[in-house]
Amino acid sequence: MKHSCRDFARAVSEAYDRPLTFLERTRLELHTILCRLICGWCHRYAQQFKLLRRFAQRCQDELWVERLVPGLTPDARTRIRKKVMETTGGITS
Amino acid sequence: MTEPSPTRPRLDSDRWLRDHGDYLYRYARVRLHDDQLAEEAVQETLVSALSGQSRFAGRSSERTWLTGILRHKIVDQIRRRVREQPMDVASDPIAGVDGDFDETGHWKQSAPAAWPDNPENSFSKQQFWAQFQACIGRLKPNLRAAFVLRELEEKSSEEICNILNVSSTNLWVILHRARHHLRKCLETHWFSAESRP
Repeated sequence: MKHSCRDFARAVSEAYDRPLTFLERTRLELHTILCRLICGWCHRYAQQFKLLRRFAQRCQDELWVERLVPGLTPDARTRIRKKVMETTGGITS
Repeated sequence: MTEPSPTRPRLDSDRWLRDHGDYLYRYARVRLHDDQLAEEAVQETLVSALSGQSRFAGRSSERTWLTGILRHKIVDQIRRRVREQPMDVASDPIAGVDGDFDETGHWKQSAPAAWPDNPENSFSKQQFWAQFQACIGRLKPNLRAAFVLRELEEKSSEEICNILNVSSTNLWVILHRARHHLRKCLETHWFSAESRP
């Protein structure tokens, strides 16, 4: 059965979100083998998707987040404090 | 200002804001990509924490407890936004990936380019993470929301379908688009310019 690069790309992504069927997994593997012999683009795509997942995990490292995202401005702190007081009708310590 | 009554729990939101405000704000900002929404999420977190502080048993650190509440608030923000602008996968062909394939389903000229042998080298570069955040920021809001919930918050497909009010089939399409565009953005703005320092 015909399995295009477009089908491959979709299945590579869906493998991260649902269990693929036996048939789908087999098609992916066969396509990867053939692709590596011909152009390598699909194999490359799958490898780069693996990296994307690692990037997404590492991008949350506190070290980078602290350097890249500015903290609250004094104005924002004042606004938050005021709204919290209004909402709770309470007294902040 | 009145003194807190003895029966009223001591309100610690000022201290929380001082000690954890920046951390919570950054956590929300990375996920919502919007200063105002992130600020609102922090504020809502403090309000919820105040009303629920008696439930804080001290089994986790205060920051972990507050972050747990914040994660719910981030989901609430996303849910609210989706309610205002529902997702319509079918009528959004420009956001699709089909443009990168020809009529037979094979790659066009925009096929994936080779990335350097050790892309992990980018892990230690602050500029790379800035670019990664910028690429996430370039995603359409709905794609970004799905990607963040799946890859940063690690929610299940089922949970995300519920939050975004889409079918699982549509969610898989949305997540594929998000990853496809993110991959391409990194390739264009980072890996193809690998001569960088």
